[in-house]
Amino acid sequence: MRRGLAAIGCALAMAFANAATPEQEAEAAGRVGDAAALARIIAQGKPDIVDWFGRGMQFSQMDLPADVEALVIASFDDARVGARLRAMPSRYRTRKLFDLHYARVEKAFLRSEPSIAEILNTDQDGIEEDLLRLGAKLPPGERGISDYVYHVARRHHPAAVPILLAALDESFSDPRRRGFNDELESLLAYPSIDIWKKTALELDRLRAQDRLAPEQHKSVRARVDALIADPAKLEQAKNLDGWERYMRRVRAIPVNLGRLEALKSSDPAAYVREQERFLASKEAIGREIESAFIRRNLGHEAFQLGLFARFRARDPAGAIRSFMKAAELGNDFAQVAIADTYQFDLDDRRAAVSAYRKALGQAKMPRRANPDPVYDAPGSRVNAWWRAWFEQEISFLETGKSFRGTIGEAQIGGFFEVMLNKAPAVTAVFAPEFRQPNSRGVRTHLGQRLGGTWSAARDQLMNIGRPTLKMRLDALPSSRIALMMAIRHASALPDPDAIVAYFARNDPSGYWSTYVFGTVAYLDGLGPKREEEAARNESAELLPGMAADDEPRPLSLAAQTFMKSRNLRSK
Amino acid sequence: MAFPQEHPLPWGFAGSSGTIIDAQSGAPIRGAVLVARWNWLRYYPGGFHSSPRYYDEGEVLHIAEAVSDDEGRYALAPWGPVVRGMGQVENDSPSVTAFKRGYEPFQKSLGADRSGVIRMRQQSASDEELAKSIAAVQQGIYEAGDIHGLHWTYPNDFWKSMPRMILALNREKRRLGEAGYAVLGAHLLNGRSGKGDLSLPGYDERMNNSKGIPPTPAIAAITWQIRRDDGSAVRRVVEQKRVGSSSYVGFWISPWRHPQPAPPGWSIDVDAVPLVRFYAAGYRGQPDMPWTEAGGTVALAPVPATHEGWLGELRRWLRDLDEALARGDRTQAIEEQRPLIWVLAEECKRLTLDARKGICFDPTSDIGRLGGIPEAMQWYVAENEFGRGDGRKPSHTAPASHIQGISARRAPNPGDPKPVGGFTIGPTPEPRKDPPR
Repeated sequence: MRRGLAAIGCALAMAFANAATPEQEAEAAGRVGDAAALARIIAQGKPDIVDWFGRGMQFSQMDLPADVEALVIASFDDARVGARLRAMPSRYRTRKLFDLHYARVEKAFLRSEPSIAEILNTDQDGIEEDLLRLGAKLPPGERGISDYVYHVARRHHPAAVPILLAALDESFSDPRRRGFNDELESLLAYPSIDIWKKTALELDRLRAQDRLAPEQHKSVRARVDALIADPAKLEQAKNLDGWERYMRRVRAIPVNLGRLEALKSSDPAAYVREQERFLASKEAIGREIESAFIRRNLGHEAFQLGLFARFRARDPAGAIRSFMKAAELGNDFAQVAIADTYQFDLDDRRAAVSAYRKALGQAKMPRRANPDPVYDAPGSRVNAWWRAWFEQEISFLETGKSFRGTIGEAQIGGFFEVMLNKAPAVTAVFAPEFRQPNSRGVRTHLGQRLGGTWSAARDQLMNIGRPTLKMRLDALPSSRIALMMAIRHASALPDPDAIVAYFARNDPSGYWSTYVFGTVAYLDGLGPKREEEAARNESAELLPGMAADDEPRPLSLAAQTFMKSRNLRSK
Repeated sequence: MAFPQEHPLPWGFAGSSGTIIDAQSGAPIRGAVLVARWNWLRYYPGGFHSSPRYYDEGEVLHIAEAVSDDEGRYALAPWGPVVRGMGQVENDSPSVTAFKRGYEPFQKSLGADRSGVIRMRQQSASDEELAKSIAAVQQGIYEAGDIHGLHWTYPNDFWKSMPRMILALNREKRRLGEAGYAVLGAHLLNGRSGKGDLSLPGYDERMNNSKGIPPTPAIAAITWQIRRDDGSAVRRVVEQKRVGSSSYVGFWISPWRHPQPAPPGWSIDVDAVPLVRFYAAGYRGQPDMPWTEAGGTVALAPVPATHEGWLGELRRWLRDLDEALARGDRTQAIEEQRPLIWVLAEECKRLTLDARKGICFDPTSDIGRLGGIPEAMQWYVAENEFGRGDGRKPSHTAPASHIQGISARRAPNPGDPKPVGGFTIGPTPEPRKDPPR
């Protein structure tokens, strides 16, 4: 009897422990922008729960979905929850909601009226003139101009220009300002030589009236003149302006980002389809604005979508589509991913060779415009390694002969640099099952390294989850992209045979394995200096298995097995 | 059965006289105030865990006060018999305290000393030390199981029997200024604190919900009557001070507290009842109310957060200010009203530009140009039941730092990472095959 009661008690306790609180439910509903849930919350009239819903949407970084915004409009003046609905942190999109905020601001007498700030929480166009009219209600802020003028100026709207020009006088006379003049900077951020010239004229006028000291005038005028004289500066300003316009238009696309994000786990294939559509809409906007920066950004998004399609949705065809789109938009990594997908998932040697050849060509002549190149400049260690690998991989795919040759010092250095420095481009899609350390490069205030040390390698090993590691690695499809992410995890496997097998599955030519095991063999041969050298050259950072306490070390045994089987040595 | 100590007995004093003289010169001291106390020690018979004892609980059977004449003479009148039980008068009574400006306070039990001569030593220590010795005799000096002194803060009304001593010590505390901080003010006597409680419903919620600038603290405007020290004239002066930033705050308004708003040569007329009004943004003010030493509770009602409710109250503040500035010396009035001017300016910053019309001072006017937070409104000027403190005062004087700056540039470190290298990987050479012999 007593046991029965205890069991019932435990069951009830567990049921209560697992039951979500209204706050958690509201936040979860907010994360997917669930309008029906919000309608229920509004009917309950609980303002705190509205906050949790808004917080959920904020976590999903979404703008107000149309149906949610309709509810905000309908209950805008609700006595119980209206204030919280008006203060939702997500951006709104409709003119109707703008007008409602506008009416409140017009009537406001306290600057703490939330609508004074909330009205700016939108990217919609066509509100600039109205905002400037409201600007008369607000005193100049720390910027010297009201937030409304600043908001309009940030959109480079011409109506703000006369106000900014008029505010220049005060901006120089205020002694509290040091270093940054918002009025001047706002004017110079307009992508327009005409506005820069008007600014220069105004500066001259202020100087003529002795409102500007000769040194101030000289220094500021020199800056404006440099802008006017350099076409690259105009191009830069146009690029920035283009990016801001692009982002405003992208945010106006009626996509529920929270729901889209939720599809990642619930229906990965649907996520890929929806994201492809979303990406196509963004591309269309990007084509209209035409900016190298926007293209690169779109390329990066397409590449990440391709990785998701391949490793999460397990849809190689979909992945190839996205990788090709990304490559077309200038993403160099995408070309490697195309070759990898053909080689491993689609088993199409011919297409893989062709893709590797294309990648080799790109590595030989990297695009100059890319500020974050994958291949680095020809002559660098990184570039040398990519080229050596592409050539070897093409040879392997054509002849079927695995690698057994000599690897020089430059390529060895290049391999580790690529694995440490370029791999972050592919790791996000594998989270959270595979954590990547973030301590690399961290130093104390005295300059001592905290990350990349031997103890950091031991720390990685402790937190890598060795008991479940093999199971997690086995669940990944064969791929060098996956190996690039998981190289440190593979090095930490507790079984030497499993290490060798994992590398063999993901690196059939054995080229990458030669670098890894050859380096381990070399370091093992250093004796007492092994730890210091491995920490110093950061090989311990990439291969934390070297810091294992097991005797003999599984990674060292794996290296011996591999080197012996290939008849290789490090010297 | 009662213990003998519990039986009622007659107590009395036959009277005495004596002289107060300078301990060094032997010269008589004129105008010294003397208080003689016959402290009553209450008897507790004890119990299972305690022994019988007499306790000094501040009670007194009789207090006599006298002032020495031109020859330094004083007289203590006889009293009694008074019948009382459950205790006894302190041995060697009376306990005598004497004070005269320029002398160390005198404290002694004179019961055994029939000469009646009181020798006072001239002040030799610093003012701070003097203040501490005065505080000691005010509070009571614990000696051989008895407490000797004025029993200043005990919860009873015996202080009413020593009005001249109270006035003399109040004058001394004022004279000593900051150095006299330790001297206990008369506001610490039972029932004289002038303690009030201000209730501002919803203030804490406003504080919690304020994003950025918190609500301004409430202020009390006190109209005192001050009197010239020679008694030749009286006039009014307004003191404004920060009351606090909470829904329920305590404050103290008493003419005995120091420092006082009176200029040199003047002091607050302790016989005139001050008038008090409060200003708190978002709360409806109330007309001047007389504030006695008994204190009280004031509750301000929130004004509705409407255009007229909120701005109407601020307009009332402005009217009060205009009236105050129109009376008498404008410079002095501005100085007196600076807390309210500052709070109004702070409240103006919260208003939209169109709402400021008719409420806020022109920034180019003499009032609009006043900058900075007035001392009385600083957060660190906290008041407590003893007086005004200053939370910023350092406990010691730290030597000046010699640090000029720290370079943030890191020197190259021999432990910096280097690329993997120093070796190559290649096929193991085939073992040489010796030719068959």
